[in-house]
Amino acid sequence: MTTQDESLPYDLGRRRLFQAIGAAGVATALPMLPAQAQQREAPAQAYIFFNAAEATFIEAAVARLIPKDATGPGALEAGVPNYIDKQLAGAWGAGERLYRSGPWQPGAPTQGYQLPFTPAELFRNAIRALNQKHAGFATLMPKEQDAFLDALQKSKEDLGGVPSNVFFESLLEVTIEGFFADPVYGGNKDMTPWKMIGFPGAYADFYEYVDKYNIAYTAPPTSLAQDANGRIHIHIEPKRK
Amino acid sequence: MKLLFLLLLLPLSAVGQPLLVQGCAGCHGAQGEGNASEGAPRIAGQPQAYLERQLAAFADGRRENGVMTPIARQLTPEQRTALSTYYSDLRARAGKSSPPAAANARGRALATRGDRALNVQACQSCHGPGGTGFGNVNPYLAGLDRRYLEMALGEWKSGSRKTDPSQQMNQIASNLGDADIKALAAYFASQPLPQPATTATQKPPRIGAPDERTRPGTATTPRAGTGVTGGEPSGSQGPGGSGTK
Amino acid sequence: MATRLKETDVVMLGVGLVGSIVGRELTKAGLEVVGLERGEPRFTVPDFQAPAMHDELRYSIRKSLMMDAAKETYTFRNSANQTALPMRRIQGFLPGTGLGGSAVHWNGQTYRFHDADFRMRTLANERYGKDFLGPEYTFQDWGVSYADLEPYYDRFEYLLGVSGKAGNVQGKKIPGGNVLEEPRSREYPTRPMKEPYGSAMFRKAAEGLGYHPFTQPSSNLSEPYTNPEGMTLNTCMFCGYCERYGCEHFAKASPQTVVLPVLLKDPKFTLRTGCQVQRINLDSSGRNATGVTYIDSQGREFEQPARLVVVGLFALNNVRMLLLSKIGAPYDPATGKGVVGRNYSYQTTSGVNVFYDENTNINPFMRSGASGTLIADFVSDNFDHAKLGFLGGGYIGEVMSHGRPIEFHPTPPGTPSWGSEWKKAVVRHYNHTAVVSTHGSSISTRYNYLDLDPTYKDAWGQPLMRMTFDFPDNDIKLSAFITERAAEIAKAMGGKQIVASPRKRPYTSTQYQSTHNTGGTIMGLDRSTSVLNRYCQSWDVPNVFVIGASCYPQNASYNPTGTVGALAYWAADAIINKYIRSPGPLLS
Repeated sequence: MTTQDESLPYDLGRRRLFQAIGAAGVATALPMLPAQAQQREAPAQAYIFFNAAEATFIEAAVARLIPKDATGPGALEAGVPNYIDKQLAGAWGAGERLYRSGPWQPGAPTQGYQLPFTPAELFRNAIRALNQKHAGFATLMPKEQDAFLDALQKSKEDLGGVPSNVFFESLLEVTIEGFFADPVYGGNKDMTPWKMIGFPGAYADFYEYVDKYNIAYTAPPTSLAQDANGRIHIHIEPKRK
Repeated sequence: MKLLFLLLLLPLSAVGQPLLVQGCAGCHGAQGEGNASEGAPRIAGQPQAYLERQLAAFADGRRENGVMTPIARQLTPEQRTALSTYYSDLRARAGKSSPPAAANARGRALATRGDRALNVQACQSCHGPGGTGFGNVNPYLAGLDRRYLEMALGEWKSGSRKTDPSQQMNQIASNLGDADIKALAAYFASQPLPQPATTATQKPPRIGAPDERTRPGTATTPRAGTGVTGGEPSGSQGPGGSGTK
Repeated sequence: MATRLKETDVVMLGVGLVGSIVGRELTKAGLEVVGLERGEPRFTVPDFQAPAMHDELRYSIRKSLMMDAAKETYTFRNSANQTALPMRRIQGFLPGTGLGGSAVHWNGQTYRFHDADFRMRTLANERYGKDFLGPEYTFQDWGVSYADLEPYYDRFEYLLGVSGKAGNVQGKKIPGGNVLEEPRSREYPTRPMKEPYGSAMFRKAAEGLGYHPFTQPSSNLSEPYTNPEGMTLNTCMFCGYCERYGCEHFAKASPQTVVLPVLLKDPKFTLRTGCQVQRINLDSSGRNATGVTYIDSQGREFEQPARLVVVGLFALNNVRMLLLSKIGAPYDPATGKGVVGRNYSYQTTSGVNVFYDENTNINPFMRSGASGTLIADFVSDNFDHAKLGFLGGGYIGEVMSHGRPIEFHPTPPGTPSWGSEWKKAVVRHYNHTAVVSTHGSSISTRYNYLDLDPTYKDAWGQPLMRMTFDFPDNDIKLSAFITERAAEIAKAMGGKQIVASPRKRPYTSTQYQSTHNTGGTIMGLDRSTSVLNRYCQSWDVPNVFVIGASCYPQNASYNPTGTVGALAYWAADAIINKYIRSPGPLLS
């Protein structure tokens, strides 16, 4: 059975695989998921980086990293998987502003990241290894998922060349980013995370408030991409002539 | 009209809000939509603190207007609060206004980008997306009357309007020539009015317990805290680009 | 093959804060100046406008205004028995790039150093004895005193329009200002900034403990101001997007808002951007610079001949430029010989979180980059060190500058780093936490230094610079002491829980602490222990001047930018009034 786990360059392999196998073949090519995992509250996504197995893992993982609970919506509801997908597919994922010359040597913790992987490669390698070695994360009960993530955070198990703690830390960082970045980047849906903490967002003029102590600033937050009607535009609409 | 308004004010304690509003409506319209021919701007849906400040300013001279000055001087602070709250809660709706002005590239550029040579920043940074206002102090400009906006910028420029403690408006207006003032006024006049329930200025929640202490050292301190626990600075081991610490 | 250009009077390396000021002074004096900047031009309009500028992901996290590590970075190790590895992502500090340099994205915190900083060795010896610290500490006198620099601090502050309240004008103490400061000749150009809630609580707590709190001096202005160059700045609107961002309001003093437009209009100044200087060229004697070689953004190599070379890059890059150009003997920690790269230091920071009840709204997003309240009671030698066993000091203050949530979401110790409990704690504490910071000096040692890396190279094939650094014992003791004092004040601020985090070893390059990298091309009176004389002129190559925080023999308690500006005017003055009249070594 052909799986999505084969090492194909992502920009070629996935699409060609679908074309070659056809729709019916795609159904057999995907890992079988229990019905309960498919009923997750995931918003409909068009992933451009993640294949289906990766997406399944990411959605399940971020849903535990920042869960929906009594405090409010979590990372899944906020569109964090979409954010991570677009980041990994973009310049940051491809290694912009990352010094990528060798030789690569392991270093001390104070010396920081020394792996040869771009963020995209790191995620791809680690999730592939995870899905191979510990398949079915998405099918575990939440408590078991938490224990799994906890182990991921603490161990240094090699995941396709990525120590699991490095992968975990990277995943947690992009999850928090996606939760709190401007919604123009595809996460922080409806600015709900900002509303939860009371952060006002992109438009910011507080000259008249800064010396009025202890006020409750409850005006709705604003995105840098919102228009006069409060609608946030992820896509740029050209002005009609 | 002015005399009628003043007569309505006389039995102050017995007169409830609606009668005061009738006085305002004479010039500012039944729904606070303004009356361009009277030079009375649209006030419906403007932030409450902004409106209140204008009334106070007319009373104490920070703004000067032959019609508004005597009216404002007759109002008590409580009445100013009540009136500004009433009009802030109204929804801005289309009403009589000057003929729609053509949107213009220069006005749009100044509003969204500013002008380097003139030392002028984009209006939207304080006045919100599309000039729909920000917070409880920065008014919406979208859909206001073009001539009123020109007059307002002129007042900022001449210094006769002193209602901006940051002096940004005075600085900005003094950097703008007459043609740019006209372009900006025309641009904002042509923008759609803020829509109900979707913008920051529509029914803005009261910002704060109004607690206008500005003198340092007068802040209340909550009860004394408890123990000191140590924490460790930490750092990222991932491919980063996050610098979350 | 390099294309040789027409000779100019002066080639200015870097058009940031130093390049803009020195470029302006030298062109005013009639010299032709070519300014070479590796980055791109950018201006308040359109590049710094809101709301696009208020994008935490792009500017704080992806660091879009900073140096691109893909092309050049630094290698790092804590000590010489490690192999230095590249900072593949520069997390620990924020070297700027582009027109205006780091002064575009700085926080605007502007101070003057103390005489005890400039004459640290002499005064510490007098007060504490010459063996107070061990021989591994290489702190030195600068060769200038506070009195020498006072007029230049004044010039710089009036260029920027710094907002503040003087505490000592010509010896007269003025309550409300920093009564512990060195005497200033006059008041600040603009009045002090508004005081936010957390800072006001700090002030009250500090006063109650007998300290002398004062408002943080700010180069994000409190009111409109027109400077001596005719440039007008506006009022800071406390948007909370200061450090790492350009200012949309013309309120932050940056080269673009204080001097560049005037400079760029001067036909004697030629700006070239996208130009990566490879080295300063020397003649066969090795004692005279003939100009520089640079590669432009199209990869073409040029030689720019010049009679005078002024190096005004980001501090670390000043050091690297001299190393690559072989100007001055590189420092070798094993022998203690050599000077270039010697006395690298940093800043010793720490923090105390104050967690409040849910009814106390700190509103951290309503801030300017410099709108805090602090005390100088433990700055420099303002207190008696005799029984403390360390030298140096730091300020303590509530100097929060933002509440941007990706960077700032404090939780008490014991909170898990993810999950429901984490989220609950973030929501509970985000708007109810104040941070008291300490900002401590950084003493120089034999072991902390800069040199060229033997292995790793930049995109142009040149060696990266290697940083060998860890906090010395002196500074760890300093941080422990100052952080305890900070915690005492924090406890009096009325929170429910205080969490103090004094600085510990090892220094990690993975956590942002400060962009105050200093030293490496230090100034001094003795050419065997310094790279530059007191006029920032190279001892070895008299037609090379190096200006910036790389000149500092050790770093002091306060932020370094005020002194960078003073040195820029000081050195420009020396060039115009001494060097040009009689080119050659200004001191024998």
